[in-house]
Order: sequence, then structure tokens, then C-alpha cells
Amino acid sequence: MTIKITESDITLDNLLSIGDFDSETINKIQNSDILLVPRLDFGDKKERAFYSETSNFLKFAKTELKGYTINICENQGQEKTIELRSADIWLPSLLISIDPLKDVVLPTINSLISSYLFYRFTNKVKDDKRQVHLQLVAHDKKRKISKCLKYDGPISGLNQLEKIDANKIFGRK
Amino acid sequence: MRIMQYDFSKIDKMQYPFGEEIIPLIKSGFKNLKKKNYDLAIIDCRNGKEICEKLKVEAIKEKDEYSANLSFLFEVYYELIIAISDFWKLCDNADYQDAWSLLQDALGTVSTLNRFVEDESQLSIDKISKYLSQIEKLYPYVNFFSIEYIIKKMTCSICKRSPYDPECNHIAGDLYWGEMAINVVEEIEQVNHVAITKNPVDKRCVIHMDIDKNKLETSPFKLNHFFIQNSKFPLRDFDLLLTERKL
Repeated sequence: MTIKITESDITLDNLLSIGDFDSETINKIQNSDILLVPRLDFGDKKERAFYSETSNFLKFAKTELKGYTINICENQGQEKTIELRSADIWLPSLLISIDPLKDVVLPTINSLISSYLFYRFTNKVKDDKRQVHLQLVAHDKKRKISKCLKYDGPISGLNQLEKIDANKIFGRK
Repeated sequence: MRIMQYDFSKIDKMQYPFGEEIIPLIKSGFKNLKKKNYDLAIIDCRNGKEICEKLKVEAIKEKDEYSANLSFLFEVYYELIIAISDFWKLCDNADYQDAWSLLQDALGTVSTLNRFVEDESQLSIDKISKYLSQIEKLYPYVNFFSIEYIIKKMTCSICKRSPYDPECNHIAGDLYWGEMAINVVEEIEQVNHVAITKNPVDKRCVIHMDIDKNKLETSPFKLNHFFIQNSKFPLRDFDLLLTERKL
């Protein structure tokens, strides 16, 4: 199991600088609390494409987190999907644009992810053979910086994410 | 959001009197399977599936989604018996490699039943699941082929919209009015590569080996052969003692 906290290229400014997004997508980038971001440079052709769990995760998240604006970062009708055919679970990258200092958003997101995995994959049969790959990007709106939290490991290890302090991610006291 | 689970004993027999035939046909299918009357077992299951279809149609007319989904799960159960029958039929002929796909079919149905049936001990789903998983371990397969590709267009099997469309609220793998929602791949943009993996989503893609059926005792399928020879009939209980060996 590995948890890495790194700088991230996934910032609102970087997403907005992508030339072919239509006005509706730009609006979604600017105004979503949680944005499901595709892989921006997938494969030889450097394409934008979502992992195959994305559409399910989007519907689940919208049902679970009623007070949040949740969208996918792509022009409607142009969504491409990566099918990896591995038993591993590749969750979409989540760009969370809420000030983490005044919110409990990280624990909420962790809980959402755990509920989703339980709903989809481990209802009764304990399934720790599957590895989960997850990228959470927390965007500090005031300072305009993003930090990325990357998790690769079994489903059971996800509870380790709950111990991570959003303040420490952004290097604040 | 919690997953809806189902109870096989809750068919409304007053509303759907023909539903009473479903369980006896399952029992008859099993009886024939254990006697190695595979074709008769399959006929029982096909008859059972027809009743399930009728139950689904009637349930939808009555706006009864629970019974419609229950009919789907009974159909899956019949598919399980068919897959085990076909698996054993091939194993009796020592076609262990071809039987692998049917074993995967059976494991797939069990996985669906495990997810949606409230009590796995109903109709011995737990025991069958253990039985099939143990047989899977007898196979020599460790590495599997898996392809990576980019899908340009998908549709939801329920509403026919793109699964990304805000109007589509169907989660792939969930049940809706007697159908399981799936994302149907309409157009593949490109296949990126084929990989060898130990943990694929679909284990059917394996390397085919040339096997001399007269030398099965020394072939990679020797454990399967030993098991089939000694097990005598399908679904007979057995325990597998796994040991570790240093290479």
C-alpha cells in the first residue's frame, strides 16, 4: 500500500487552459465542488479519457452527496473511456475545490469512496485481492495551489486516508 | 445508497401462481446434474428460465420491480446449473481446457447471486461458490491475457443513452425491472496493447496448451484429472488442502 502526497498539475487554471472545452464544460470546471477529471494524456495519442468506473462513481456520488456540485470534466457527448480489463479498481481523479480549512470535505470524500467500493465490490465477500488506484486533488481556492494525494493499495487500507490532515497537505499550521 | 437484496422465498405465489414451479425445477435440475444426466438438467433449466421470463413480464405489468428482479436472479441461478452441467460434460471427456470457460461462467453467476441474494445459504449458493472456487484452484493457470483499449462510444443497456449523460441514472451492474444494467461498448477507438496479468477482470483469456489425453497424469491438468476421476459426480463436497512449495 502506498500513499503519496505530491504537487499536482491538475489545477483549475490548467484545466481552463485546455483549448477545446466548450462553455458548458468551462462553467463546470469553474463551479463544481467535486470535478471528475479524466486522464489528460493517456496512451500514445495523449488523449483525454476516463477510467471505466467514472460514470458509475458520478451517479453514486450525486446520490450520496446532495449538497455538493459534482460534474465530469469533459464536453457532453465527447467522453472517452479507458478499459483496462484488470481486476484492479481505477477510480476517477477527483478535483476537490473547497477550502479544506473550513470544511470536512476530505473525510466526506473518504467515506464516499469507501461506501462506493463496498456498494460495488465487497458486499459480502471480503475482497482484498483487488487493488484500488485513486487520486484526490485538493485545490486551495485562495492560494490557487493543488496538492495531490495518491493511493494505491487494497480496499482495506483506504481507512488510512481518514488520518490525513488537510492542513498538513497544504503546509499550514 | 444501499444495495437492494432479494430473498428467493419471497415469490408472491398468490399473485404469480406459476412461480411455484421455479424451485421444483431447480431441484430437478440438481438431481439430474448429480446423476450426470446433464442434458436433462439443462432441459429443466431452460423450462425454468421460460417461467422466469413469464414472471418478469407479469411482474412488470403489476409494477412489481422486486419480483421482476427476483425472476432475473432465478434465471441467473438456472444459468449456474447449466454452466456446471456443461463444465462436467467436458470434464468427463477430459477436455479440461475447454471446461475452464464454463467454470468461469459458473463463477460469474455465483458472484452475481452473492451480491444480490440476501442470504447466501439460500439454495446453497455459499456451498456452490466454495466448490467452484476450489476447482478453480486446481487449474494450472497463473497468467492471463488482458487488453487495454479506449472506448469512443458507450450506451446504457437500460435507457440507451450514454452512461455519462446526466439523464442516465442507471449504475452498471445494478438491477432494474428484471434486467442488469450494463454499459454497451458501441465503438472502440483504439486497442492500445495486450498485457499479461495475474489478476484480470476476465480469466477466460489463457494460453492454450497441447495436451496428450493419454498422458493426463503427467500433464499440467493432472490435479483436475485426479479430481474428476475421484469425485465421481458433480457437486460432491471436497476439501482442498493447500501447501506451499519453494521453487
